[in-house]
Amino acid sequence: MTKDLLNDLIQALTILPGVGKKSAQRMALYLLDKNKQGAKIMASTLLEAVEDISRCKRCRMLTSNDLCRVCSDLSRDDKSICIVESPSDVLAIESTGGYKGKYFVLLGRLSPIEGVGPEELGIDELLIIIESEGIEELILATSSTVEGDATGMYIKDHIPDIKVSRISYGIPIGGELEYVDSNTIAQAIQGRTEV
Amino acid sequence: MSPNEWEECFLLHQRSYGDTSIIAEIFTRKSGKMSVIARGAKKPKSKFFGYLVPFSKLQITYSGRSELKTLTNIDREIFLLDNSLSKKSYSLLYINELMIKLLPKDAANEDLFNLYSKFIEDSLKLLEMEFLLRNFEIDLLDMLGYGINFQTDIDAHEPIDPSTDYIFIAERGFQASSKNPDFSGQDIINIRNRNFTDVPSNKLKQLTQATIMFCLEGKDLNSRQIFRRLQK
Ligand SMILES: [Zn+2]
Repeated sequence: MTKDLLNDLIQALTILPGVGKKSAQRMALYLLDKNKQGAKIMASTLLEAVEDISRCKRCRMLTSNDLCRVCSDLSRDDKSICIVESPSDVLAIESTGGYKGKYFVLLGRLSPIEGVGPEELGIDELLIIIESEGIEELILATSSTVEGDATGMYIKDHIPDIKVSRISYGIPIGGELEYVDSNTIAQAIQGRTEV
Repeated sequence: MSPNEWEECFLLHQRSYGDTSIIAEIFTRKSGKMSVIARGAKKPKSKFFGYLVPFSKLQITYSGRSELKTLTNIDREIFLLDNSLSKKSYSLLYINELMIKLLPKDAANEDLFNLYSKFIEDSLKLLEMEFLLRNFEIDLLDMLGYGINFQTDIDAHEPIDPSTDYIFIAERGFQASSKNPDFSGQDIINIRNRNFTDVPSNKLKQLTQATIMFCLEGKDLNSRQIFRRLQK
């Protein structure tokens, strides 16, 4: 059997979210026909990224170094931690430029039905950071769902008496797009509140 | 049911299916617990977008003959959590785990639907969840056929005597015993009358939990593991 590389490439591209067979065909033909140089750069960058990027040792964000860009930035407020569910939430908050503290990425939220507990979310690691770094303020940016609430409450229940506030959710931040409706947007306008 | 008939339900749990779809476990008034797929529900333009959230009461239509039905329409009575954190979220997650693990599929039980519906409504109004949870657990056990006998003891089948002490044996009931008793007869009568104020709350909790563990037939309750440290 002869190798059908074109078909293999199309197949490979369909693993991307939102990319079906038709779009994959278009992408493959574009890369091969119209932008071979771009395709080469893309391929080598992808390979390098997959091999070199892992989790930040402090905040669990994706990075190719031991510490991510935010954690190693000395100009940032190192007494404040914003707790988010996913790396895409970090990117979303960073793109607003309004937050100068650091992060902690839970990589999920408490879900008894799915068996996701505090260990999976690295909450013990978080508690160690809060204690050892003398953190003074926590901003909970977990999703505006009952599971997100339980996650925030769980963290609040386990920390010493420091300032804790809850970001008001709603505007599509990261992975929680599915929950956005007019109610949550109204909530977001109220701003973050101390809890 | 005919494809265009609206059915009242609660969403118990949802998970992603593929890039854009959601599979939801729902509890319906007329048909009990079932799974539905909401195709494209994660796309902002979808008519399902933002609706598939636990604890909101929904009106839906669905189609299909296989076990996995296809959601065709959705509407809801709004349910909005306030932005202040509370331990109520722990209780809500616990109750939904119970519903997922204890309820048989496709067994319609309108009493149970009303019980769950009332629990959700009451939990939004109340601050203290303890008694609400115990009431729900006792009623749920009753409706699932694991009801606790608060009327008579297990040996002599005599009516519970207010001045006698008893131990509780899960899956069986109350046995008269003066050695390390769990409850006085008066406690048991109080529980029967749903007057929990004077009943030792930790003992009452142990009673419902032991019976629930028996019903689960070895299945774990993750919410209990997760929230154990906090609910003491
Ligand atoms: Zn980091």
